Amino acid sequence: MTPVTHPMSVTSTSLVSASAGLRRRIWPAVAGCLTAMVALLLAVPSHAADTAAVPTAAVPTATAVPSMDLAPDGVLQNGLLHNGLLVGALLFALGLVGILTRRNMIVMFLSAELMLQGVSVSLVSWSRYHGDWGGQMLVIFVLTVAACEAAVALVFVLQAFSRTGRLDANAWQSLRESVLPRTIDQALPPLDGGVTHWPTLTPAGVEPAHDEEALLEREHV
Amino acid sequence: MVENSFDPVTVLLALVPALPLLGCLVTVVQGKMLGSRAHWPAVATISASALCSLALLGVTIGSVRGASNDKVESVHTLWQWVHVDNAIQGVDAVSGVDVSSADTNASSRPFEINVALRLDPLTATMLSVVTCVGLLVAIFSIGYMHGDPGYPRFFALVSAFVFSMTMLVSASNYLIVYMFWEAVGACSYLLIGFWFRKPEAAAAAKKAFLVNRVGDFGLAVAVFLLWMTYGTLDFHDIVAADGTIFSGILGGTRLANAEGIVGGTVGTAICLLLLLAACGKSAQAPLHVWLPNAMEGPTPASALIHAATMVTAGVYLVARSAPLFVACPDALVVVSLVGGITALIAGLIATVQNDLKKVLAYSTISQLGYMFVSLGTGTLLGFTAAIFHLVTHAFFKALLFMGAGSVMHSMGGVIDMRRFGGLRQLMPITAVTFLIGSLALAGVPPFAGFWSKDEILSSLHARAWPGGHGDHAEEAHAAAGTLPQSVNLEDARATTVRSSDSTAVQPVLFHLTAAAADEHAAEHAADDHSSDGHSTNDHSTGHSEDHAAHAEDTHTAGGSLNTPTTWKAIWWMALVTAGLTAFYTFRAVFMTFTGPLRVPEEAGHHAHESPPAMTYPLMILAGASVISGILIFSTDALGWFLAATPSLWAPAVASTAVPHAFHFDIALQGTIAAAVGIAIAAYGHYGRRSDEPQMERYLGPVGTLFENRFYLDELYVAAVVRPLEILSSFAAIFDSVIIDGTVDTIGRIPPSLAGVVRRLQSGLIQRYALAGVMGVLLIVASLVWSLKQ
Amino acid sequence: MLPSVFATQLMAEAGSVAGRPGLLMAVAVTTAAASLWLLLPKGLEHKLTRPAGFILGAVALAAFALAGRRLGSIGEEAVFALVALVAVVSATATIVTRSPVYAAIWFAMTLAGVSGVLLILGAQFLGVATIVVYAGAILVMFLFVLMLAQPSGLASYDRVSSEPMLSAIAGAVLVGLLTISIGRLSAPVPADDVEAAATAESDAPADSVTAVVPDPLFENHVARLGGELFGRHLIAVEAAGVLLFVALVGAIAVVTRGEAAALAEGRPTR
Repeated sequence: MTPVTHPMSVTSTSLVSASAGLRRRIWPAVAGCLTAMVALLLAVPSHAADTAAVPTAAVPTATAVPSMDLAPDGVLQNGLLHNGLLVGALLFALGLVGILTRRNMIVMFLSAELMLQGVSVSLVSWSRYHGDWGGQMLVIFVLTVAACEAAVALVFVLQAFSRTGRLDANAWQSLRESVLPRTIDQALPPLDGGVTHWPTLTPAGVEPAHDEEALLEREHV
Repeated sequence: MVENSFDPVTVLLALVPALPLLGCLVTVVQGKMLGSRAHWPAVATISASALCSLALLGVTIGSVRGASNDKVESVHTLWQWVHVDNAIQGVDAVSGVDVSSADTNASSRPFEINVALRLDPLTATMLSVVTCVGLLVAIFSIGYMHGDPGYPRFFALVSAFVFSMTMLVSASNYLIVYMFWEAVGACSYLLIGFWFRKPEAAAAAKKAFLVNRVGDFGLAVAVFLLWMTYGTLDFHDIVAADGTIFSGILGGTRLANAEGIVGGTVGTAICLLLLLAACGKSAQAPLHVWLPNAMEGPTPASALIHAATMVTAGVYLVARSAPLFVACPDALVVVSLVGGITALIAGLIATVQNDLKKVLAYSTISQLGYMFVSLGTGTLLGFTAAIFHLVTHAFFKALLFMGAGSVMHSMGGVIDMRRFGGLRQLMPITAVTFLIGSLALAGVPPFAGFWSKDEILSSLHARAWPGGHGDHAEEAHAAAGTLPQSVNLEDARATTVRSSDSTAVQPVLFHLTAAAADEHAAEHAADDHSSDGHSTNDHSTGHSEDHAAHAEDTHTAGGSLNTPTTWKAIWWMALVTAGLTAFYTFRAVFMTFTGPLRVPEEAGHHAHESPPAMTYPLMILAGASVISGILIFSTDALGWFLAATPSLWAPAVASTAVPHAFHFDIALQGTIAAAVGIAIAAYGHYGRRSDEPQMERYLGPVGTLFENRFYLDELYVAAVVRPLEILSSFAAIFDSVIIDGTVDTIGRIPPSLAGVVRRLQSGLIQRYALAGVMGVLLIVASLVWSLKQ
Repeated sequence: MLPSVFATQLMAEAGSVAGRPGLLMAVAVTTAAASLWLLLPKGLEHKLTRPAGFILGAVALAAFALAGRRLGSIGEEAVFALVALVAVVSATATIVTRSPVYAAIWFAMTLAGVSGVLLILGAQFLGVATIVVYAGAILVMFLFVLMLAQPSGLASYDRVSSEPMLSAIAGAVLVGLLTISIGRLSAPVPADDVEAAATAESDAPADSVTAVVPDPLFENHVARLGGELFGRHLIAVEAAGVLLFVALVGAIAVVTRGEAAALAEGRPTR
């Protein structure tokens, strides 16, 4: 049986293979995630005890300090804030680098969403520190706006794709100075294994006749 | 006397220049609308101005009659133009003269230029000549310029010119004179280049203006030196409110003082610079080259400007500055030499000219040379003879030019004498008037030119053969009868000086070059004819002992030029020039009006007598050419009239007076020269076809020299024009390469900088985003750094 | 006791390095920049660049981990560190992986990590909402678009980056600045407050374990969040609803207009 190369199935099979690759790579990460969730469940009570000492005002009071060692340079909440903000900053910076660097418009938007994640983490950290709902409210609205933005942006990406046939950010250079030439990538050699081997299914029954040309050919660019 | 009151004389004096100015402005504004009637404002205002001038002449004659040997001047200040306080400090008073009581007043005085008009005999004469000839030329132009597209412009320019010339001769300040000196030059430029689309006319106008510029430079430097020497530029004395008298350069207080005028190096420099200015304006060598080319302008303009009025501005200036010249005998000799040489070479060049107007142009140069010769003799007779000749020359030269214009008009613009002939049948009035003018020019008695030329020759003879005229004089006195007046100037002057001392305050004479006072004593004016037998003068009364140095023998102190030999040379030059004048004038007459009638084909239907607008002025001027000479000479009008001018009333000048007499021998010599010239001209040209080979061909290479105007134009081109062109080409290269290059290089900096920055605009949005991020990082970094606590 | 001893040791160790926090952060930032640069796709690459990038990335992560503040108990620290690690590593993988589909999957991983962090911070609703909305809706939308638009195999533009070095440096500088600010924000408590804490601690030592102040953010979390959201922020909620509607309409309008334009130009429509 020749492998069916329907456009949809190509993507889905690539997803399958991608996930296979991912499965291989991120198995330890998934394990780590599960561990994290278990640890979270375990840590929640001490966390709750810690939250008992959440100051209602700006003055940090240590009246309900739990029986754990404190860092000599600060209160517990400072540490959480610090680390949370650090994580948020890292995510934000990584998202920024992604937008500036990657040329695939989808990956650019993913990086933008990454930046929003970083901002969400920072906002929730502050909300936690101050004991105020405002940060989390803002995160909810960030979420909403991110959804709208993603929808509209992806429409535009598809429009751009339909005009140029590429998801490349560098495909749009009309705003350059008239004296400058178009920036063109140097030709890259094809990746090893130019032929994609799709998995095959065991044939079941008689395969009906297919108009292979019609299935093979892509209508859109 | 300085009057500021609003009396009739002031009004008339102000009207004389103001009316033509008004006419000019009206013509400028309304010229197009007036169209063929555009001559009305000009003619009306100039005629009114002429009437005012004649009225002023009458007033002045009356004043001179009533003044009895005193000077006659009235100065009317119209307004104060410039006033700078304390402009001149630390002035030494002339030694021997008491300074005014307030020392501070004496040591500092303001720089003041007042627009002041003066009325004295010289001014009245000049005004009359200028306005009357101007009027006749304007009337002539109605016919001549008929149909010309620039008809209004012409009359506007003529009016402007009359305004400038009248202001020039009535101004009482050297700076105002300079202003209107330039103004007449500008009007001349505009009139020569009237048909500016013709390249030759435009070039001639430029040439005239530039050559005049050289003279103007001389006048400017002379004005500077006058200011530095005398501390003032006024002709007249100014009486301050507290009674201090500030002497003008030609004011009565200065002229009465023997040491008032500076001689020596500074004085000679001033005089030579004034001579340079006069050479430029009056077309004397070496600045005469513009006048023949100026014939490109319309003939009435040539008649007015280059015959009668503008070119006489130089003569006027020297005559006005007579006391300055008399104080420097070297300058006087130079004046005469320049005049004599110019007269001779102009006469020689004119003998071979075939263009009728060019003949007249060179004739003008020659006659102006005569006037300069006369001025340079430095005697009162010399100055008055020059003015006399100026007046008569104005009449007959304007007549001749207008006759030539009439001929040119009839011949359809052709003025080459070889192309027409025998026109006396075609244009009788023109022929007769032209003949009268030629006779006057040639100096044939009893026409006007004869009398004035005779006076010039008399003055010259007196310098060339000093003291050698005693017996002749006696003879002449017996022949001519009574002398109109005995010139008893010394006594009269003494009383006048005393009478002018009625004011208790001594005048303050500013005399900055006190060092020249020493030389001044030694180099006083020319010899004094009155000392040989005619005089009742007593040198020892009333004047300083300097005058005692006057002796019968000539002064040979100072320059070695001032010798009788030089004067004899000038005499012979003058005599030869008289003969040449007659020759070329009658050569022109015979070629044009005698012989078979020939009319060039450009004439078409024009070949007839000119319209009355053109012939009436010819007739009027012909009449003037006939009678003016006799009239003025017999009454010695100019003699006693002009002698009342302050410049000529000055004792230094007046002491050189020669008693008016008719010198038969001199007259005879002059007439013989003229007759010889006419005879040769008749032999060569009378009755012949004008395009036959001329007898001038026997001159050979000398004739070629004359024809090429002594190669002076070529010399100027090589010596002046070419170096200037080279210099200007260097300047052009410098300008285009270095200056333009610098500016262009500076101008190329922004685009090149922009070119560098431009490459940032790649159109790649991620690069734009990166740039934005860098900016944000800068801001955040600055915030973090500033909040570092 | 054992955890506390361990914690003390850790604290001592951290203190020695934290005594020079600037140097640590500089090291962290620099290695992070270098690793990012090495990891970003650059077309033709030496085969060792990616491994080197991984190693440097690990070093950078360790440095950042050391730079973090102590949280008191080892368990908390471990959990937080794990979750944060997942988030950051997945985020890095999102941006450096060549295939955009892989990037989407790694993004899903990042969302999981971020959700964990949010849960640690006590934002329970948000932690779940992140997964539901982002991973469930937005990410799927991305994958749909990828399906429609991605060529088979890697396109050339997936294998190169724009200005990798400058962007990596910019990101590193940003992280450095932010951490400086964060470090200043979470500065040590002033001495008198520490004494007050000590006196307070001495005042009520016995009540410390039993006295539990209700955490306003923690109990009845969703109810309180809902109350806050629809109470104080009602207008914003309505506005967000309008925004959603506008986005919906806009997206459809753009698509239809795009189709019309494509028809006019003769291009195939979707």
